[in-house]
Amino acid sequence: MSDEDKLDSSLSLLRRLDPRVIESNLTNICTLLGSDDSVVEELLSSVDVPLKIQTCKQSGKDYLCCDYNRDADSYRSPWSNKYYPEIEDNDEELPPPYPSSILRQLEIKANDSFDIYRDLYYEGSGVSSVYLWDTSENEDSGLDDGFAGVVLFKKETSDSLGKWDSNHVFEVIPESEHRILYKLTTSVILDLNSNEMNLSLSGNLIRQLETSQLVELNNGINLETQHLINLGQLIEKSEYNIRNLLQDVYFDKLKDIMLKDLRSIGDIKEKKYEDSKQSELIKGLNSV
Amino acid sequence: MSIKLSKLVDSLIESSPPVELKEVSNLINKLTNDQSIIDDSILSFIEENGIIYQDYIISNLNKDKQSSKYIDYIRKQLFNVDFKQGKIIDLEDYAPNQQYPDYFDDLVDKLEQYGQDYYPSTFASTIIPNEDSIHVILIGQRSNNANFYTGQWNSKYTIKSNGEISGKIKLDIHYFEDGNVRLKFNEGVTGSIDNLTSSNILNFINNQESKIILKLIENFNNLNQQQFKNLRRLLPVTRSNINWGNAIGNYRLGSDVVNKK
Repeated sequence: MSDEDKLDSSLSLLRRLDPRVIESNLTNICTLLGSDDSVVEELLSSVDVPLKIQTCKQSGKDYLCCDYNRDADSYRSPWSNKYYPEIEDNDEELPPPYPSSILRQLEIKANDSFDIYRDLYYEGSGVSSVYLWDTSENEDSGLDDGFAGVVLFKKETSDSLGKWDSNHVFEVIPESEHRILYKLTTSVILDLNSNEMNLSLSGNLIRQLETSQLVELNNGINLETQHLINLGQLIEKSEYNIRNLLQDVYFDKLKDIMLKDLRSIGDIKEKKYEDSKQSELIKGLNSV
Repeated sequence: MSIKLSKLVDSLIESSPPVELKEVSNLINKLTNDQSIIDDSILSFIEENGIIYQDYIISNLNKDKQSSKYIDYIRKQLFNVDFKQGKIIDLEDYAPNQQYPDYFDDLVDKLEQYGQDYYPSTFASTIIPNEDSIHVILIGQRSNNANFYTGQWNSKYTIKSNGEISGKIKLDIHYFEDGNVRLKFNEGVTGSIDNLTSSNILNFINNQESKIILKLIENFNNLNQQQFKNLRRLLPVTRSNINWGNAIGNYRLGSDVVNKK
């Protein structure tokens, strides 16, 4: 079996199995894959698991950990640009990755902006983090050749029964001198548990969105600010869409499947009768 | 390795949706080719959970202790299952030793009718007579791959000859269009009836299940109105999208806007 088949099978399997135990299932699948290091690595980087929180020692602020700010067992803080646990300087190994200095300036501003976004949408609680990385070979290109990044939010209800992890990975690709393509993949892990009965609704949804924007630098807005506006609007829109979708799937679709496919609330015969009555009523209204 | 491997496969299969075992088995087979370990694990999942194949129910409650087969006490048959084909195989006649209670046949009819009235998709029920009790299993399941979902309602009751009833109701729904969402629910019920008649037994089951459905709907609404709404707002308190760019810092200056809940 080829590596690609193994990766596809692993991902398909994770889409079938209970998302609430995705971490242990992922560990078990990695054990099954055994010595296939490249498949394991690829799998770990393409599956979203609930985000871990770490505290930045320098700023005292919490930040989120994912594959994009990781180096071995350390994670880079977006607030101080430092890795924790700290990485010792070592001549034999490559230094851990950092964004170029121009990109780091944008990363600082993006973290500020999305921290405000978090305050507004997550009602003052939760944690946000933004990580950017260079995609161009040419280190001196600044922002002109595009870049990529991830915007993360995590929040729990005060009783810890509800958990939200959202993960927006994007790529910024210059299409021409005045046009930039923003490609976004949004995934949200939502885990809800009833405090009255043994009922849980959990899982994740993924959606993609992209937008192509004209760059207008003549009205006092520089390229950096232009990126902040475009990315902010795109992510705000995508999170709005996926929140509506989650509402639809978790509360309407699942309830419908329960009542219409598995155990109806009333006698099906009566229901069928009422449905036909209602459709007649609608027909009647439409003809008015 | 093989004990470790079987534990690992068990743990994966335990989290499988009950109606997608065939697909899960095929996928695990691509990662480890030890098919016998997968088959054993799938079979113990089927027995533990209870699943309909064709219109037969397979569970550890109707497993024959003498053979490796399952017993249908209503049709008086022994059978086996080929879960990969989704088929019942090796059917043969069977003469049970168990004493059937006198309401047995009538309860069979009433459960069948109840299934038709309240379980809109594939439905099967079975009764397993024991010395001083009977087990009743009711399963409704649906596989709708075109619309990306599968689900199962699964209830099991033990009715003792003194009228005491205990039961376990499980609901498991999997929705997988561009994602993976799972509903899991289980709850125990207990109670008793005065006279052991098929009507009393059916009324007990119907009342319990209808009560649980209503409670589930109420809980859906609570999770939506409380937890979900508290996690992330649909719009900020200002009821408008964020004004991105240089002016975003103004939200901080008017921090009463930011922190007002």
